[in-house]
Amino acid sequence: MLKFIAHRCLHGIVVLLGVSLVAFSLFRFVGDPVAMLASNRDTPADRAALRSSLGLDEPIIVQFARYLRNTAHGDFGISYTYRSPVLPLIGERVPATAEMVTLSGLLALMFAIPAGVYAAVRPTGLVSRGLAVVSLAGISIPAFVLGISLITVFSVNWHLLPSFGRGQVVTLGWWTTGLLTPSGLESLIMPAVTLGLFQVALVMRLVATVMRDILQTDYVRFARARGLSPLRIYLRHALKNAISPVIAVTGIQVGSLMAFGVVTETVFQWPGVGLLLVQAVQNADIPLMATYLMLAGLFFVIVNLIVDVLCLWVDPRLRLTTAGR
Amino acid sequence: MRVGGQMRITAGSVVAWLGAALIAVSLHGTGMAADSGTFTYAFPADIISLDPQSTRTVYNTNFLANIMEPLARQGADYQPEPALAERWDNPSPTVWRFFLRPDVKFHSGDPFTADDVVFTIQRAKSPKSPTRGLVINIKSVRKIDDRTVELETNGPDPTLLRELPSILILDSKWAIEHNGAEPTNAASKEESYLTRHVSGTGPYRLVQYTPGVATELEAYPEWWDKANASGRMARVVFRPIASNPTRVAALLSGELDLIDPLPLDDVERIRHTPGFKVITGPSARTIMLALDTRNAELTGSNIEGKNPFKDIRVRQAVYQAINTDALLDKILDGLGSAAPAVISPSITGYDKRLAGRALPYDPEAARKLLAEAGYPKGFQLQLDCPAGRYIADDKTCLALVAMLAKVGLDAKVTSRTPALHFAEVAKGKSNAFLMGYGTDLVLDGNLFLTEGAHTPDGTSFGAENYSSYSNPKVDALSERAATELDPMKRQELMFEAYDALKQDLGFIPLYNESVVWGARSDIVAAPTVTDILWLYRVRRQ
Repeated sequence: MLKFIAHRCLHGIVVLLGVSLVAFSLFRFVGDPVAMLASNRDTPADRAALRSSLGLDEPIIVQFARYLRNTAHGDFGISYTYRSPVLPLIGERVPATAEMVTLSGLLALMFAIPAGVYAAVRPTGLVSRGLAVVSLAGISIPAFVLGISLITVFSVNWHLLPSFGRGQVVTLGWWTTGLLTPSGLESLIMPAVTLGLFQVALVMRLVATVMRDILQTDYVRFARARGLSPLRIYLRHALKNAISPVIAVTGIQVGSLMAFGVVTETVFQWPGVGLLLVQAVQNADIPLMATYLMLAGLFFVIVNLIVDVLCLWVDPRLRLTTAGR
Repeated sequence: MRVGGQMRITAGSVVAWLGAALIAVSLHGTGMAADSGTFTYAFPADIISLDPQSTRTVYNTNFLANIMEPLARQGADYQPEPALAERWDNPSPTVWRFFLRPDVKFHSGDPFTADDVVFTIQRAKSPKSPTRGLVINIKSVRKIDDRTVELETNGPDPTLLRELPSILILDSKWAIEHNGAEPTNAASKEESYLTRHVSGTGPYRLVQYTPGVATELEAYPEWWDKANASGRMARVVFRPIASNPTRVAALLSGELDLIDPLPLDDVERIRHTPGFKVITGPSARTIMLALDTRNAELTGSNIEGKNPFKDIRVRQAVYQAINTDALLDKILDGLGSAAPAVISPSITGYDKRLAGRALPYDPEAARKLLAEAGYPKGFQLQLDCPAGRYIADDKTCLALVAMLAKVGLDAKVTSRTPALHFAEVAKGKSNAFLMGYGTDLVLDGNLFLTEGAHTPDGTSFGAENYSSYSNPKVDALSERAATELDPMKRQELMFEAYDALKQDLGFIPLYNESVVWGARSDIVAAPTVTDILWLYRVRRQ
């Protein structure tokens, strides 16, 4: 197991180096920070001075090497637009995104797993067909359409939920939470649902398919023959075997949660890291973008590691194959 | 399935699962429409720094002008009026003396004195300062006594008073106490205290600044301007909302009192929704099409070895191909005005004699001109466009393509984000690009003439002239207007320069934008040509 984890960490470092290189070559295409920072009264000489003070006149390889060195020293630089260190700037935005992503993930699992089981058990029922429609809609409606539709119905027409922002937040150390105030919770509902619907659809279909196969297996038949209650069969015996692909897919989906999170955060003006990234791209704020991408890469690597370990732990069969390798 | 009947996981429980999560927390309303003393408004971008000298972002400085004040502010008639200076005189063409208002206190409690003015201007001039450009014409600043300062300019500066509203006076004692003696620039390594704190003398003081979320202000009870202080809003909350539909929805749901801007697509809707109104007025910004008149050849065109735009007949053909009235009507929904010249009527230097198109819209004449110039079949060109910088900029570009196509000009549009667009056109290779000019607080016509139209010469002259347009007559006139103190003579110089630009068509004038805000019906707020919302002038009926 330790060997496996060490191996994965090594992978992770290679991935992060790759991410940083790709990010750096992309930055040449987002615009010229000097054009954004210079004022209209700056002479060409002023602009050249600004360019060299930012180190942007050096070859891209030199800039990249310097960036790697600084990053290794924990120095992520200072945002061009906010004129403040990048890491705390992103850190401030993490709680908002984390709460939204976590809640939408939980909502999705809470709804999708039972719904998936139900769809597998009664594939022809009216409810199952309804669920199929919901899941189709969930997969095909883009987040910004869903988001703005929810806002129109629940905020503009019914005045039930706030249309944007995070509501009132409570500060706990360096963390800010919207989970402890009524307005914070209200604000969280629509973004979490918007972000979660795609996951619901995906996980529900996955659970239904895997469950359907498992319900045909011998051990389920034997369990039925033994007279175990159906609920016990489905939830304890069948679902346990169906859960490991769900864990794997959910882990991978954390990536798409972050990607769709950018859209959701834009629609709801949710003050998270996704919104910060969009602003950074608009302002050609290279240090901010570079750090975001590095941290996102790091996050991916860690999540995938956790998922791999979890899968091993849940499913003994996988342990055998790894051990045999 | 046989066992289905005994299932406990029923459809009902599944629905309940989802329903509970949705409903549990939404039993009571969202506390809409805060108390009448609070004014909440939204703008697409966030406040990025509370240090006016550390960022050149115009809306950021404009917002801070509600908290901090200049020596002279921009009055309702856009003329400089006394703020922290009670009055001023001009003993010699290069020396200005300002007599400071007594008994003014900063929000920190420090008294306002001449030292603050000296500190502010010297700080802006420091080598690290990103805002040196604001004080480029100020040679030195001297304290005469606690209530008198003298500014000396590099040569006579007719726009000095108009530049003052952009120079917000800092609380020197407070700034030095917090290591803020120098502004931070983009190459700085650490954050300054002044990035997130502010002490000014203005109508509002900062309560809380949460980047990306909200900036809260409250009325400063000791503000010197008692006439404007009475009746102003007690509290103000600024919310950045980048997404257009969300901003509109937030207004309609009652969470906001005003949004700036109101997207054109939603104007009709707001107009017809009871309880809301559209606030609109002219903007000082003129949208124009800049043509490459410098390069020997147009990159991306099928004409090789020469640049068609160097021929005035081709430029005239482009202008005659463009139906500016149709642009106004179809693209801007009438929210704008025709621009016969590249200066809006809101800017000093505009002259009534500039009214009326230099040449009428006439595609037939345009085709003839192109044929005369040797392009009977037209030619291909690249058209560069910002997407999201100006009102409906991308739609305007698409309409231009259709109009140019009618006379045989085959334009390929490249739309980019504003950051990319301006980086691209700054390379000086663009065949033709859309740009806007005019909303600078100075509101003086010579700004565009010197920065945007003067031949680039390595100084600030021509620094924004990305198409490298060059016209000796405009150069000479703008240089003279830059030092001419007599307003009448200056007006005449600027008129001549703009008239020369109008005839020469290196910059094709399209239209003047409008400022468009959406608001609740009970809000009284006057639109300004600079698109600045002066909070001290906002009232609730």
